[in-house]
Amino acid sequence: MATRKKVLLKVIILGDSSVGKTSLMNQYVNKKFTNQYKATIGADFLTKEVMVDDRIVTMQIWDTAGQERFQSLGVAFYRGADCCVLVFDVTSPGSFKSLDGWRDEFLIQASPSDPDHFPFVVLGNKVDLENRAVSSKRAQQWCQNKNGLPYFETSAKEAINVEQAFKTIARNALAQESDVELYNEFPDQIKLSGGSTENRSSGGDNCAC
Amino acid sequence: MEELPALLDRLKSTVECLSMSSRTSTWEVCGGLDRLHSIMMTIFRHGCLSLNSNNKDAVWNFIQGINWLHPRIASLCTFFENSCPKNEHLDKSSLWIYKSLENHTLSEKLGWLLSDKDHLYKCYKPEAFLCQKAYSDAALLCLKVVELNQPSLLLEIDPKLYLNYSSKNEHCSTLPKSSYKQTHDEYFEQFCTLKNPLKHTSVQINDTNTEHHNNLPSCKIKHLSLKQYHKSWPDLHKMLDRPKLRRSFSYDTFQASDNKLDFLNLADSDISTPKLLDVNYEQLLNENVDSNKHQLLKEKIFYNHSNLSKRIKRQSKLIRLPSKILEESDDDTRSNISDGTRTLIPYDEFPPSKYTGTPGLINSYFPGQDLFKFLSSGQFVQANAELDRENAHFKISEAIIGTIEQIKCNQKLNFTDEIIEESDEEINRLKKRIRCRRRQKLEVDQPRTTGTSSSDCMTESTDHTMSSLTSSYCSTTSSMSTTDDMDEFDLDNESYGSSRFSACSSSTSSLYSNVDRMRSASSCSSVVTAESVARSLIRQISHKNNWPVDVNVQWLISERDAPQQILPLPSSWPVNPHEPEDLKSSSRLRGTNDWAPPRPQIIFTCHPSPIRKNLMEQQGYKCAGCGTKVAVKYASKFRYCFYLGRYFCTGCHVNKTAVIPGRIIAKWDFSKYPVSCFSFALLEQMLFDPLFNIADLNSVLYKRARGLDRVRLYRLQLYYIKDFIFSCRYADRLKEPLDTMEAHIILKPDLFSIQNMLDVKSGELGKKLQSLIISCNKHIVNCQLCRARGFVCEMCNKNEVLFPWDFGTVTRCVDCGSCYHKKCYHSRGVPACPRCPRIVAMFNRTNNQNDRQDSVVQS
Repeated sequence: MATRKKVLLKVIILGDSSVGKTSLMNQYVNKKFTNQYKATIGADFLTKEVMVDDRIVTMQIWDTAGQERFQSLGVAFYRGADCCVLVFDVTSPGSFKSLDGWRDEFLIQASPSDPDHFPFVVLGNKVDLENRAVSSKRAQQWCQNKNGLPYFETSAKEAINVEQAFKTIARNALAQESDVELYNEFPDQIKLSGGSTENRSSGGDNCAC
Repeated sequence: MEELPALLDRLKSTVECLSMSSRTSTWEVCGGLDRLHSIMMTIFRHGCLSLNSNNKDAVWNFIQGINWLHPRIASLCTFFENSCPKNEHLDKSSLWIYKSLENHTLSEKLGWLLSDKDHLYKCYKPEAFLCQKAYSDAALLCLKVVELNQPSLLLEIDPKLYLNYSSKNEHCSTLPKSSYKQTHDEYFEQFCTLKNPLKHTSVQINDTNTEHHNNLPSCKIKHLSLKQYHKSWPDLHKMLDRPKLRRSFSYDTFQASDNKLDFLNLADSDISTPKLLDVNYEQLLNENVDSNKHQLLKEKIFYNHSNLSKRIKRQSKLIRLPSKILEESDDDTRSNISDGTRTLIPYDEFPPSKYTGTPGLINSYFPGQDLFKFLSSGQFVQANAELDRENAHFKISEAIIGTIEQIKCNQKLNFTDEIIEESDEEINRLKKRIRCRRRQKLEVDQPRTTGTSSSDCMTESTDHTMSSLTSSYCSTTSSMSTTDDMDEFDLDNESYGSSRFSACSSSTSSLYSNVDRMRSASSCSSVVTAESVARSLIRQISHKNNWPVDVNVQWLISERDAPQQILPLPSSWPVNPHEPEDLKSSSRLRGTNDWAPPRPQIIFTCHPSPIRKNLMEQQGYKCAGCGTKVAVKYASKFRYCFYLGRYFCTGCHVNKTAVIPGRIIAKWDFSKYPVSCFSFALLEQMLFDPLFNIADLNSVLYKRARGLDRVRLYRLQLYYIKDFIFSCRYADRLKEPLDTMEAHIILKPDLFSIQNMLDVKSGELGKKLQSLIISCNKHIVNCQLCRARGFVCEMCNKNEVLFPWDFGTVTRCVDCGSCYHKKCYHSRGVPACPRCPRIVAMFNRTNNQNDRQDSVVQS
């Protein structure tokens, strides 16, 4: 149905802080890498047009903040995602262990129609570093237990496997997207408007009284 | 886990040690950095929140906050992060602290980290060291001392914070605590109540190793017992009867009889002749404790001054030292002379009444204090209150009159003396020779002074004038001191004496030039002050007359008539970190027994309606502003100040009117009431300061004043909105109006300034905020990014984006910040927020994982 339409694929990158989410996205979209660390605040996205199986698709890649501290900002953007990328740092066992949490969190917040078959892709980043702490086998085993999720070992710094990983991500996302039109799923019914502020405030007044 | 005071005490004493020794080797070679690092590490780990014992990682979590709090600084530290090998992962935090200490940035970083309370409490238990504002501030101060090398900053740490600990854990516990304190006190009272303070008594400081500083003399002070001290009295006096006797005591005797107090007694009994009293501790430090002879010269007691003041700083709750002395010691340590002997500190620096235990009485003038020092001590430098300045004029003119009277008196006496002595030709010739010598000396000094004498009463802004002023002062003192005391020295001794005094003056000159430097920096715009006029005036006279030195100045009004202690002085006051520290601690409120000038108070409450008779009686029929007394029958002429709740004379109260914050807060009453001039100025000054937290002061007001409550809600909304706007790359246009708002408007919704409340009343603030919210909302609902950063209600799972400021329909979890529909949230049982337990579980899993990994690695 949607075959001839221009397709927008929404991809969410999740994982602990400083595992390299932003770096992976930058490497993939801009082919750039920097050693400078700057924590992402809230969430932001980059877009990239790619060819998947002779179709031009626009990937909207959402980079998220790994830290739990940005409480004032929410994760409404999980909704309508076509694929979720779980990233961990192969030198940090903790970040690997967090994958369960990120996956659960995503499924709850995004509430996809078919959580069991939602496309996740797992990336073990920073393989260029020597002090590796999570073995390839262990990671693969975990992916196997979750319905055989695709697993890639990447290095955003050396651009190892980044292209391949995102190709898979795009393909899986496209498969998920199939016949669901993205824009319909994203909430556009927002009640807030300029005029309503006053009413709302006066409502607050009434409460306080 | 160590107690907070203990930690702070450790930190502080380390910093003290570091700053006492000016050598750089202490920092790098001798392990100063290491020690500071280990203490800071302990502090960072103290009360660190982690669900198992893996503290290091939790500390690192906390530290990482710098990345988003202040990326610029963070980028500095990522440099090392990347350069260090990854296997040091566990010691990341430790390394980070070390590096930060090394490049002197830790205080800045820690300051940023502490600024975010949410982050702080996420990483630390509420009782943790860093969570206690007082302690974390003190720690920051300590770090700043090291970074800026300003030991005097240590004075600003409230001794209460660490005193509990240090009084509990003194190194020396041979005596019961109380007696030690008492002795200590007594000791100082003795020290200070020298009825006629010796002019040239000096305390010699040994520049010994800092570690030595820590132990010997202070221990001995502690060993003092009051009883022993009193016992030793008679013997001492006997001994003292034999003049000019060199005595030596074995160290044992010394300790047993506590002759350390000798110099006090000596001083008492030898009042007539000026002497140098020193305790030689140098030897004690250099030789073995038990076998050493301790030499106590009658005229010389070397006393380890810097150590003394250090102890005193620690005990400052018990004994109040004028900060001048403390600063001086700091100053001394900085300007260390390499030969090991230290500057001379005249006894005049220890005027009697300073030690009587009045809190906060620092840097005020006291009778018996040297007039010149009094004028140049920097007490007057910072004229912040007009009142102070005026009072200063009175005090100074009084001092000058007193001095001049005395000069006149002395002249007359001298005149009669000379007439009597003229008969003896021999003596006359000798006298002439002496006078000649004096004149020569003066002439040597004069060229330096005369050039500026006429100009410096008018201008004080240039460095040149200032320094010449100082030097001229010093030279005058030195020459005058010499001349004044010539009678006591024969001619051979004179050279010795003058060299001593020049040493004295050079030390003071370094002190004053410091003060004056500050002064010249700050007084570019200052007018001619009373002090400057007085100084130049006195200098004019001083060349022609036998100027009375130091303490001989008799104040016309004695301390008894105008006791300074009874004034209600704050025990602490806000300090501007950008100010040169010499100016910081001076508080110059003056007054008398039954009257004190009004202080700039922030009064939150209403005064009960005044009953003139009672209140005037309470005020002793004196104007609260200037202390002018009024006859009872004219009491009705006095005017009531509605801000301070006191009656003022018609000079201090010209019926200016102002809104009274207390009345606004209590009754939402914006009418203007008559206030004194002082209050009027004060209120004007605080007009824009966010001082009033309505939620704390009178939360009922929100219910009573609709407009106020609406403004509070707007501000609360903006509090959440700002996070969206500031993090959105499409909202640059809106950032500016949010930025131009006063910071507290958005960040502290309950905090109001007087002006804010006026604006609320006029409806201006409400309108302004409302329009801002409308435009922000307009952006947010149309912005893809902002919408994506909204929340969805995971309870009903509707595809509706929620925003935390939609108070009508949305509830926000205070712990994790998730938003839910009000209805959904309240219909749910416990736990109310489904996300919080998930976050905790995730955190737990990660930590357990780390543990297991660690144990695997170890096995």
